[in-house]
Amino acid sequence: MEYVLETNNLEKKYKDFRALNHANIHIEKGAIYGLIGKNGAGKTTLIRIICGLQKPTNGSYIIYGVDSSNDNIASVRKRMGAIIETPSIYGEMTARDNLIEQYKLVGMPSLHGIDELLKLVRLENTGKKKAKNFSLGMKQRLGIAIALASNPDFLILDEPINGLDPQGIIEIRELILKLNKEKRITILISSHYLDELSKIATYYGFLDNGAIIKEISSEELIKKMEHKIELKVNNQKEFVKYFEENKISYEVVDSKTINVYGKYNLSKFINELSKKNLIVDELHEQEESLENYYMNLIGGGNND
Amino acid sequence: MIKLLNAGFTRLRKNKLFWLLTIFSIGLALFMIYTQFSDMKKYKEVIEVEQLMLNYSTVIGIVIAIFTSLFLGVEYSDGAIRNKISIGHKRINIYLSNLIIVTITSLFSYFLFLGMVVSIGIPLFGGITISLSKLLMLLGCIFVTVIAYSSIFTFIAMIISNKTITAIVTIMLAFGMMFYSLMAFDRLSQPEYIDTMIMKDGVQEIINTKNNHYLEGEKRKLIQLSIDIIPAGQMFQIAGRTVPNLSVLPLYSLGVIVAFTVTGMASFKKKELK
Repeated sequence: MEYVLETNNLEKKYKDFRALNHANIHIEKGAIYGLIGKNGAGKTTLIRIICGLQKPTNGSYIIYGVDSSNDNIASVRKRMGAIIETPSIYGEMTARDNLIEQYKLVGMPSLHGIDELLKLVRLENTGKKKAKNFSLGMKQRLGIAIALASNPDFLILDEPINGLDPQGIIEIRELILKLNKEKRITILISSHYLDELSKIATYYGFLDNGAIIKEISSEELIKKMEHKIELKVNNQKEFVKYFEENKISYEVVDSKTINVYGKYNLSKFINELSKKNLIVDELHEQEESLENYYMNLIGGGNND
Repeated sequence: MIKLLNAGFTRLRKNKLFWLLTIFSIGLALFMIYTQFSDMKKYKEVIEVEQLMLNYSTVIGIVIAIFTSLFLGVEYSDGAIRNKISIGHKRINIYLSNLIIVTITSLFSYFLFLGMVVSIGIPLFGGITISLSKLLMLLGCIFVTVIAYSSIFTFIAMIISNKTITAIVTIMLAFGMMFYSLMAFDRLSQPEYIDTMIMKDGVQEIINTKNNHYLEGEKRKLIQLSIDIIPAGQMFQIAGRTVPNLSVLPLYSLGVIVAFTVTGMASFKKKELK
């Protein structure tokens, strides 16, 4: 598995407060990794460490195969773009001047591409308007354009939709999806807006009290959040055979438990099973949202 | 480093503060020339143009403090330092590039002032009355002290992340150094003996007595050393042309530059940023 970013037991202490507690994160190339956690869970601290703004108290991280203890770690950050909390924008400058500044900072050979970037983030018509007079959404989009100036392979967005109106949220969401699909940029996006993240993330990391308590792909998560019927049975093999023949989505949980995914008329479903001599001892119908899943996780519930 | 300098100077060219500094440098030169010219006309005073050239040195500390705190303060308030680090620039390079930009801008301000004084002052007041080598030595000392000022204020601006606090600290320090130097300069200028009038047998008599305010021994040496080291003290001595030993001042300035830059880079390297 090719990881863009891995962390190994990252720990960060501020005096008596432990902001990160053996955090382990694995971001695959091409993923949109949603880092979920409530305020104060350690999301921004983790991002600050990865971006080199702070040093971990213990543990390490690897970006594109380069360990944080290696002197080349600063060089490998040239493949990254980041917005940490608020976008890095000179308020007294226009959108174009901010991008020129960033182009010079990253050492781009020419200023070609600035128009394209402005168009990409839909700021091409801002003219001489200073960035300090932009709306929050425009500032975020300019921040993303600045982060994209070096053509990064890995983009880090810390709470990019905080404070945005619904229109702004949609614009940022579409932009992130576009960057991931068209430019193949791996994206780490932190947020506590679960619904929003669920619309774009391909992988999730749940952070609580400074530790990653669960990493899960969106496919797995969708499966977990699907309408589910938990069956307690004795002759599990027969059930599996029947589900395979009838192309019913299922998951064997243990020797006596099978989860069946999808919506079924329960009485008809049981009736069909009994016709095949498949007797259900116990049945539970469940439906889970990302919110419930998250709450169960941080509440210590077992979702595996 | 070159990328950082390139970006820094691009920002400088578009920065309002820089243009205000440019206007101020020209304006100050014009103002000084005008007042001196008026005095020359009114009181038939002889104006030494070289004195005009040295005068800016007494206030440039405050100008550098204001410029540095506001120009570099934005680096923190607008998230520029965070951005530079996260795209792979080394902290030492960020620190040094900022120091270079502040230094060059400060020197540019002085050169601009000098340019105005030379181009307008010399035709009005006549040529310099001291040897060119002496003038160049004085100006050289000023330029090294300008770098010392830049290193002190860059240190403060890079260590304190809050723009407002940086501005307060740098400007207060600039004024503090100025007032201290003026007071120290005043004490050191006191004559060792003064004439005192006494009454003896009903007759007034003037006698030459020891001045109680005259500093002696170690205390005098210490205060002289302090104004030799402090940039503001150096500038007052250079502008007043009262330096006991001019050649030693650049060495003290170099010490200040190295001490503040090395400490600043080490502190900035360890600094936890938000």
